[in-house]
Amino acid sequence: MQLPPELITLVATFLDFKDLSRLTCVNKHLYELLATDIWKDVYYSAGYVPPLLTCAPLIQHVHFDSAVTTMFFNRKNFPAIKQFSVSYYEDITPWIGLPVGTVFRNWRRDLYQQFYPQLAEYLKAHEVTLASLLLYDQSFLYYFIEADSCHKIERLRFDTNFTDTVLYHDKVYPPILRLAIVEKFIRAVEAAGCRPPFDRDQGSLSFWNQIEDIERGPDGPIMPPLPADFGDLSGERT
Amino acid sequence: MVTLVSSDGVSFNVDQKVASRSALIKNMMEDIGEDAGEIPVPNVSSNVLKKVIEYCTYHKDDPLPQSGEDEGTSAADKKKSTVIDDWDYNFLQVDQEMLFEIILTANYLDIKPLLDVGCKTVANMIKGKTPEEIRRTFNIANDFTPEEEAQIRRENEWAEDR
Repeated sequence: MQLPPELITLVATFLDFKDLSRLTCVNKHLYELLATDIWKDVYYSAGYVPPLLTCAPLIQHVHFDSAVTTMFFNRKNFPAIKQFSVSYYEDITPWIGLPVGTVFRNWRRDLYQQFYPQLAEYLKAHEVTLASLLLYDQSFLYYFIEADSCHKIERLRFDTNFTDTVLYHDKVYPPILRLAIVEKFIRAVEAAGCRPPFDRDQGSLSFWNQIEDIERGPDGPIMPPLPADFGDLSGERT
Repeated sequence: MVTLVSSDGVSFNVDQKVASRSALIKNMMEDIGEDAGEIPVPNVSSNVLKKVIEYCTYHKDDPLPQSGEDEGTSAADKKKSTVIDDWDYNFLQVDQEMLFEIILTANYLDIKPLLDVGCKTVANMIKGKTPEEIRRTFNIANDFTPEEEAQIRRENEWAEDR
């Protein structure tokens, strides 16, 4: 008796990409089975990388979990991608073993500054959506506003409970600036004829309470006066 | 008690608590009521059903898995641990045919912990092996042409470097 096909897909959930990649080399049946059943949805996380050249054309959904990378923003190698999703948490990632200092902080900042602008531009340029996005810092929405791709985000959640803003960024974004960015984001989504991709009953209640507290006029929220040194919304670009 | 009847007509009298380890049988018993009587298990032979009942008897007091329990989203959840406890490990020291039959039965009868431990056992038989070793382990014929195999190996080479 050989491995029944229905078993392979069950067993595959316990294997990492390297073992799965080797399994695709065993015979044609396994190659086709794994290609169609497994590689369509890829959970990308640190340490698990799919055998790109074999399976890249089949991947339809990439979920960034625990790590982000720009390598999937390549339409030639990954022509079938229809969705991304992002739900990483810093506090459970392999980074935890790294020293948290200026170098580390800058490295992460640089990573995000590459990732989010490219993701935002990619969404704009292709028939691809962001099925879900978990952000710990609302200010990253600025990149989607700039790229005019806010309406491509299907579900958006915030987790603002982290001390990350202080920890991972040189700049501390004041709440008013975060609020302004989210309001801009909401307006951009609505201007595209879409509904904002969040559920006000979930996510960071403290944040949404801030939103609810805003006085609303006939043309939308009446924003409190912004700080004089409001500056560049991204807070990062010069 | 409930009586489970295998595909080859062998009857097994089983405590309802034991039979309830199978979500399928549990639902059937709930639908039928107290007089469950005989429940046919047409896809499962007596030697496999006997093993599955042995597993369910040993684990009859374990908490039942909650629905959606395995739907975690983190990498750690997705790539689940393949650690197997001693009793389960020894229980699954059977020939491959029996192992596959047990897993298929666990899938059919919806006994998730047995399904998981069976799949972990097979996964552990695959882990770290080369394609050729996997073929030998599971007696799988290589039907790639040498050119195809070379091509796939080239394509997967970079994954090996990770």
